[in-house]
Amino acid sequence: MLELRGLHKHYRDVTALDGLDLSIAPGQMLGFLGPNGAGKTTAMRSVFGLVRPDAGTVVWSGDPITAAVRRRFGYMPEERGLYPKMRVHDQLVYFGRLHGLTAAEAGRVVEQWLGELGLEDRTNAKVDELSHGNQQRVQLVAAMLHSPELLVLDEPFVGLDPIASATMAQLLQDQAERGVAVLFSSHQLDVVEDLCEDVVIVDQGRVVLAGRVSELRAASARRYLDLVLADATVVPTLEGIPSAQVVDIRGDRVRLAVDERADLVALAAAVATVADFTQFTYQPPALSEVFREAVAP
Amino acid sequence: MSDWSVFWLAVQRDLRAWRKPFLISSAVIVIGVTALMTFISLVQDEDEPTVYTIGLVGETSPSLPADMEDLFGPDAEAIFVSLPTVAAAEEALTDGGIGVAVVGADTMMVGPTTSDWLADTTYLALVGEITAERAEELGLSAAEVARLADPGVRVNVVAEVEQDGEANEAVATIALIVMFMAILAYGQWIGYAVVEEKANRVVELLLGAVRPHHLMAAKVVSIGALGLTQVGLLGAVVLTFGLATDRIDVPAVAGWAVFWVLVWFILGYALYGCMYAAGGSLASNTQEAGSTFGPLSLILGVGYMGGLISLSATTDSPVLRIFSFIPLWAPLTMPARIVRGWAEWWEVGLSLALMVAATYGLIRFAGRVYVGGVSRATSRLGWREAWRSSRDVVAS
Repeated sequence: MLELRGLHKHYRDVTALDGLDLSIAPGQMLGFLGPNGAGKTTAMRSVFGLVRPDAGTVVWSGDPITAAVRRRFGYMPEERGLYPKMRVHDQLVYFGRLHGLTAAEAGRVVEQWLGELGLEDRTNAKVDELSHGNQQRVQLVAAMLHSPELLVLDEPFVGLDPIASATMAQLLQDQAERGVAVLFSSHQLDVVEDLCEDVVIVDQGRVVLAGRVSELRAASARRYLDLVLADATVVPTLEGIPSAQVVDIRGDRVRLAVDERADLVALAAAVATVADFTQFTYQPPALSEVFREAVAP
Repeated sequence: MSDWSVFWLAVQRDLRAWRKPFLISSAVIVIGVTALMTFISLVQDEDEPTVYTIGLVGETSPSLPADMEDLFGPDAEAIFVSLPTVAAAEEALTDGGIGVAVVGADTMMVGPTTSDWLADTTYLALVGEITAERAEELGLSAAEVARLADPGVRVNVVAEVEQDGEANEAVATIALIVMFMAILAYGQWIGYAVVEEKANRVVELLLGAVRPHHLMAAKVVSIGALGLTQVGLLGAVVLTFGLATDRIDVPAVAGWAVFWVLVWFILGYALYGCMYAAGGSLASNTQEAGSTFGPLSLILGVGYMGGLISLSATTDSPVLRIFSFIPLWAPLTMPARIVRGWAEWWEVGLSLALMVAATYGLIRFAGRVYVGGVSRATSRLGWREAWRSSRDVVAS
C-alpha cells in the first residue's frame, strides 16, 4: 500500500502541498482530482523521489521508498518523455531492463504489449514518426511493461480521442484487476467517474474530499430530475411543480433540481399531470458538480 | 537489480545512441586526415634536392664544380653556368638568375638573393682550391696537405644534447591541440546529450529507475570512451600513413611524455565532461545550451593558450607556473612544462594532487547541479539555482 502522510512542500512563497494525505491499496484504482496548481503533480513526483517534502512521509508497505523499490513502480509523467529518435522496440526494451527485466523477457513483453495495442507494425519505427495517440500508447507501455506493483499516471487521458481513451481506460482497469495499485490524475471527470470507485479531490495542497464516488455523490443534499419531454412546448407549465425548480432547459431535455427528501412517486405524478415525458431520471449530482462544490473558492 | 547493472545499461544505451554520429565523424576524420596528409606529401616533395645555380666567369679551377658538389651533399644540387663578363654576373645576381658567382680562381660574388649557406659553402670550396694550389707550389707531400686540411679542432660538449627533446615537444604540441579539441568536442557532446534528455522529458522517466549521478556518469563514460577511441583512431591513421609512405618521421618519443599527457587528458576530460553535463542540465533546450557551455569553453580556451605559450616560450614564466597548478588549466599546461623540463618533481606531484582533489570535488559539484537542473523542467536555470534545487530531489 502507498501512503502519503501529512506532506508539506513550499517553493518560496508558494504552497504546493499543505498536509496532504493519501493512500492507495493494491488492486485499487484511485482518481486524483484537483484544479491546476492544486499539488497533484508535486504529490505524484514525491513518490518517485523527484520532490523532497518539507515535512511528511511517503511510504510503500509501511517502509520508506528506496531506489530498488522505486524500480518496481511505473510512472507516466505529465510531460511525456521518450527518446524521439530511438526505435519503439529498443526504447521499450531499455526501459524494461532498467526496471529489472532481462533482455529476453523485456523483448517478449514488449512484443506482447505492442501486439495488444495494435502497434506491432510500428515496432521498428522511431518514436517521432508515431502519431500523438500512438506515442501515448508507447508511453503507457513504458510505464507498465515490467508489471509494476504501483502505477502512477499524471493526466493519462490528455489529448486522446474517444477510442484511444476507451482503450487506455480498459488497460488501467485490467491493471487494477491484476492487483496493481493505480493512481491517476485527470481533468476529465466523466472518465474518472466511469473508471474509479474512489477519488481524492485536492485543492491548495490539501485533500478537500475523498471517498467512494457513489458515496460522495449521494452525500450531496441536491438531487436532479432529468426529463425527456414528448413535446417541448409544455416546458413553462413545469414551473408550478412543488419542491422542484427548473435549472436547465435544452430543447426537449429539462433538468429540475429537487430536494433529496421529496417524495419521488408524488413528484413523478405531479410531472405527469402537466407534461408528457418519454424518459424520467432521478439522480444525485455528477462527480463534476461534487468537484466544483469541493474546490469552489 | 544492482545500481551497477543499471549504470551499465545506461552506458550501453548512450553508446548505441551516439554510434551513428560517432561512425560518421570517424569516417570524416579518417578520410579527411588521409586526404590532407596525401596532399601535404605531394606538395612537400622532400626527396627533391634544392637546386642552386652558380655562375662561372673567366678561368676558374677545373676541380671547383666537383668540390662544390661534394660540399653540397644530397640535399642540394649545383648547376654551373658560364658567364662572359663580371657585369653579366652582376646582372644575373641582381635579378636572381644565379645564386652566387665565382670569378677567376680567387673571387666570389654574392647578391641580394644569395643565402648564407650558399655563400659559406662557395667560400669554403674556393679556400680549399687555393690551399691545394699553394700546397703544391710549396712542394708539400700529400700527408702534409691532409694535415693542413684537417687542423683537428676539438669540440667539447658541455651539456649533453637531449636527443628526444624536440620529438617530445612535437608530441606535446600535437597532444595539446588534440586534448583541447577532444575535451571541447566531447564535452559538448555530453552537454547536448543531457539537454536532449531533459528537453524530451525522458529524464523524468529515467530518474524513476536510475540515480541521477549514475545517469550523468554514464554519459561521461560512454561519450568519453567514444572520444578516446576516436583520438586513438586519429593517431593510428597518422602513424600508419607515416610509416607506410615514409614521408613522416615517427618521433622517438619518450614513454613518460605520452604517460603524462594521458594522465592529464583523462583527469581533464573527467572534470570538464562533468561540468559540461552540469551545464547541459541548466538549459531547457539545445538553443539555450550554447550559452551555458560558453563560459566553460572560454575557461578551457584560456588553458589551451597557456599550454601553447608554454610550448613556444624559451623559458618558464611565473604566470605559466601558476596556470599549471590551477586544476582547470593544469591538464593543458602542466604536460607542456614537464616536457620542456621546467617542472620540478614536487610541482608535478602537487599539481596532480590538486587536480585529483579538484576533479573529485567538481564531479560532486557538477553532480548536484545536474540533479537540480534535470529535475526542473523550467526555462534556463542558473548554477546556484540548480544547486539549491538539488536539495529537493530525494532520488539522488
